[in-house]
Amino acid sequence: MGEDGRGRRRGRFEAEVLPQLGSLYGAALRLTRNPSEAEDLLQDTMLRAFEGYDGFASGTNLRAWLYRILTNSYISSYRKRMRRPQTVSADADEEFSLYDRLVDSGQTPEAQVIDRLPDSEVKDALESLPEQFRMAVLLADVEGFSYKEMAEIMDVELGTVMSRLHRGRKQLQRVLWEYARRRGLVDEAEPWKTPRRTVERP
Amino acid sequence: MEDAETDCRAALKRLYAYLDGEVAGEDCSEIEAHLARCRPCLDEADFERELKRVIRRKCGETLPDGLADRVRARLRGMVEDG
Repeated sequence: MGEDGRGRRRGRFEAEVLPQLGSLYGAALRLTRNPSEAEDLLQDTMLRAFEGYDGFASGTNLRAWLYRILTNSYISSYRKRMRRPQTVSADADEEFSLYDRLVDSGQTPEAQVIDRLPDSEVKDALESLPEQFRMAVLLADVEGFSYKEMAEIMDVELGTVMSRLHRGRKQLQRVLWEYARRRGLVDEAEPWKTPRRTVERP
Repeated sequence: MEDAETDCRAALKRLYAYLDGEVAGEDCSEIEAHLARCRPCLDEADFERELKRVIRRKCGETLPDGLADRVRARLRGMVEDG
């Protein structure tokens, strides 16, 4: 490809891909938990995407493709550096229901309690999740991807997507509950009682 | 009341998939019919839907100053290097 061809390709790439930088940066930050590593990850992602751009079929899912590259770049380069072992806790959180806790604490509307938490604490809560769960919640709730897109991005089966998402959400709810309690947003004096509804949760 | 509870369990089991827009057709109508007649499940669905929104809103990031320019510069460097 001549100089002009490469320049045109770059122009097309910039027009199509750079508008996604903001949301990709947010994801990079949640994954690396560090602004300078997030920038490195984003740069790597962009270079890999540019290299693979010819193989990307126009008209297919650009966003999912970019997130897949971001995820793979993260796994291959950044995760190695992490000293903290990735432990996936037992399923103690599977049944946790933030809704039941908030109902029992007498706070209404219940979601407003969480809305009162500073943004930084909600981000911290998400970042506290084990990587696979964090990724699932991030892709579904922050980025709005479908389960099918998430399966492509994370390179797993649909059932795995759903189970990671479910467990991730439950763990996140438990952390958010703890943060709300620590901030005094929910009444601690009231001991937690049996939920009023005894419907078995999935 | 056992039947009603079975309905609640069935609805709550698919609540996340429903809120994520992943339930279609008859299954979707069934959940919606249940929510229309069951206030506790509707309240719970509203909470989960709102919680998703809160998380999305609070986890938004803005691109740091100059980052887009630095990305462009790297790409241009790569193109020039061939």
